[in-house]
Amino acid sequence: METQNNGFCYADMYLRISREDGDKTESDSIANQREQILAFLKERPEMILRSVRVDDGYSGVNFERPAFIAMMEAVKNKEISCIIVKDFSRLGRNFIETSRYIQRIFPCLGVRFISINDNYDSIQPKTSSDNLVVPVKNLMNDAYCRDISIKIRSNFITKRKNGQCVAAFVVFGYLKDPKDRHKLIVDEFAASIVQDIFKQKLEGWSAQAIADRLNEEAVLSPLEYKRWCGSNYASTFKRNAKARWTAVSILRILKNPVYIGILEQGKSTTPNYKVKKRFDVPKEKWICVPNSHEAIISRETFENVAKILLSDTRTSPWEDMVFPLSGLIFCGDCGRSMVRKNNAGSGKPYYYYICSGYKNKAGCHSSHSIRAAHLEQAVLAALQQHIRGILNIEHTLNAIDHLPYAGRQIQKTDQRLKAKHREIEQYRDYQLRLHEDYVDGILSRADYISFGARYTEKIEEAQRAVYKLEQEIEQLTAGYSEEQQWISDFKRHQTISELNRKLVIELIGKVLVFEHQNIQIQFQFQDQYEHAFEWIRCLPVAPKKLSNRDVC
Amino acid sequence: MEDFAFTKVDFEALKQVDVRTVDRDTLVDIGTLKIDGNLPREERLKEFVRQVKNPYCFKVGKIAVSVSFSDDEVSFEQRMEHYLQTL
Repeated sequence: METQNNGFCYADMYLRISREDGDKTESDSIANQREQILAFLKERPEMILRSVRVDDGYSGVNFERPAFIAMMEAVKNKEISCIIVKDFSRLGRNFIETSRYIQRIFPCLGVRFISINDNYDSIQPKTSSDNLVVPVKNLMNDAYCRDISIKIRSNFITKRKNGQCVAAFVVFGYLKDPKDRHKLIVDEFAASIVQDIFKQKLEGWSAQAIADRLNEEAVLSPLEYKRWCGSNYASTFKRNAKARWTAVSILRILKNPVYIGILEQGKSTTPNYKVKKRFDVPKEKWICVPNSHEAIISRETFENVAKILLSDTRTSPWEDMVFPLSGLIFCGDCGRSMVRKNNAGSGKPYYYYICSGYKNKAGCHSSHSIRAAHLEQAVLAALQQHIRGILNIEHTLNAIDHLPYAGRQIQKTDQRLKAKHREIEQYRDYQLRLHEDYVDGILSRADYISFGARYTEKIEEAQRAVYKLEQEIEQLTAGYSEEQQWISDFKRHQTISELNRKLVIELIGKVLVFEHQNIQIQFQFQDQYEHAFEWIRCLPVAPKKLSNRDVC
Repeated sequence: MEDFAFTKVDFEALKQVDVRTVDRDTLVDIGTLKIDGNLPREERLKEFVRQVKNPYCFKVGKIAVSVSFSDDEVSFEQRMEHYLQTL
């Protein structure tokens, strides 16, 4: 299209406002900008207005603005030959980029640029003062952004140091307090899922197995849960129609100290207000505030899980969980881990552990081979007799009696069941609306069928989860759950009958294997013999001392 | 049982026994211990030490086992209680 004809030219007016930049809402309002430019055009009949380009809510720090990009397309396509703005700051507040557009890009593209309030028109002859004033004005506009950026950054730092959460979206397990948006409060429903994830990890489940189980139970992943709660959260990493639990999301939860009440903020930042790319901040510079909110995981559990995550374990392809002692058995001589092997070739197959340093010829002189069954039996017998002999069993049985276990579990499962029912209702509601849209002709038949099938699939998935949860509640009420069985066994025998991963992690730090079937078990609790015997020793002595003093 | 002179047990010396060099025949098999669960805790503790002879070094079948404890202030009961809370 011819943009300049017989003295006429086609022009676009460009309007922009952003509160973040400190624009004055009154004088910089879109309506005000439009009015000023229209008044300017009225006096210039040779200029024909083609489009009004509006970027409402876009910062002038960069040029990634939809209306501006569209306008530049129009310039390149020769649809317009003139751009009119109220003042330079509407075009941009980035000194370097704005100057580049005014002095290089617009002249190169042959487009005329008019800034009304600055009395600037690119086709007018430039005076020497113009050459000085234009850059200075752009520099001043830039200073606004710089100033606001500094103020906001320092405000964020203060808030972070005070333990106030400044994140736009909060982590799974917490909600923003409706009374104070910088405070985190526990989201009971999501917190119970987080607690289960930690529990399953302690029981020996791998992160992938936990994720698979949650997906099987149709538990909403953090992203889906946020959206289900009505949050506007979106992620560029989302690939599937419904985001699912993954090993990565499980590990992210297991490693996040937010669950023990520590608020870690300032983990990534931008180099300055002009660059939007985020960079990771070194860990020592993070702002960490302990006890800033209620913990949903105990410190001991968090530390036990951290210990497991550091250990080198592998789940057998035929098992769901790791073996009870996985990652805890080390060679007593070279310190390397012991690996589990199977001599499947022999007539009587059995499992055994050997030193990985010896197996990989990495310096250990002996295999330190020990049968898995013998080793596990030795650890079990040691634990059983220590529980019988030195544990204050009355204290432990008392703790069991005060466990709100069954009630708490039933409540948790019931909560999940209700949430699933709500989810089903919601999907049915969507299906109904879909049908209405189809009847009204808003939706094509193909779309109606495809969307409908998607919701049917979601409903079926939720119904399967409902069935599972109902079964779980039945088991809990009848006292048949694994944990309830363990408690009743423990009460009956006053010791344990088998090794379980969670108890091993709680009580044992390491098991060292020496040559010739010698092992050392490193318990994770203090030596009680000396304390106890000190106390017992005092019993006959104390009255004697007292009587001596009486004589004196 | 009454004859057991628990006050004379030298725990420091027992702790020094090295599982790598100890004569396995001198060790007690911990599986053979018979401790009456109805006894009060102190009595059970005394019985445990009396029967096992060295609570830091014993055997289970063919395996010689030594045990060590942590230096932190967490007790066996606290660990068990925490385990129960995570059930």
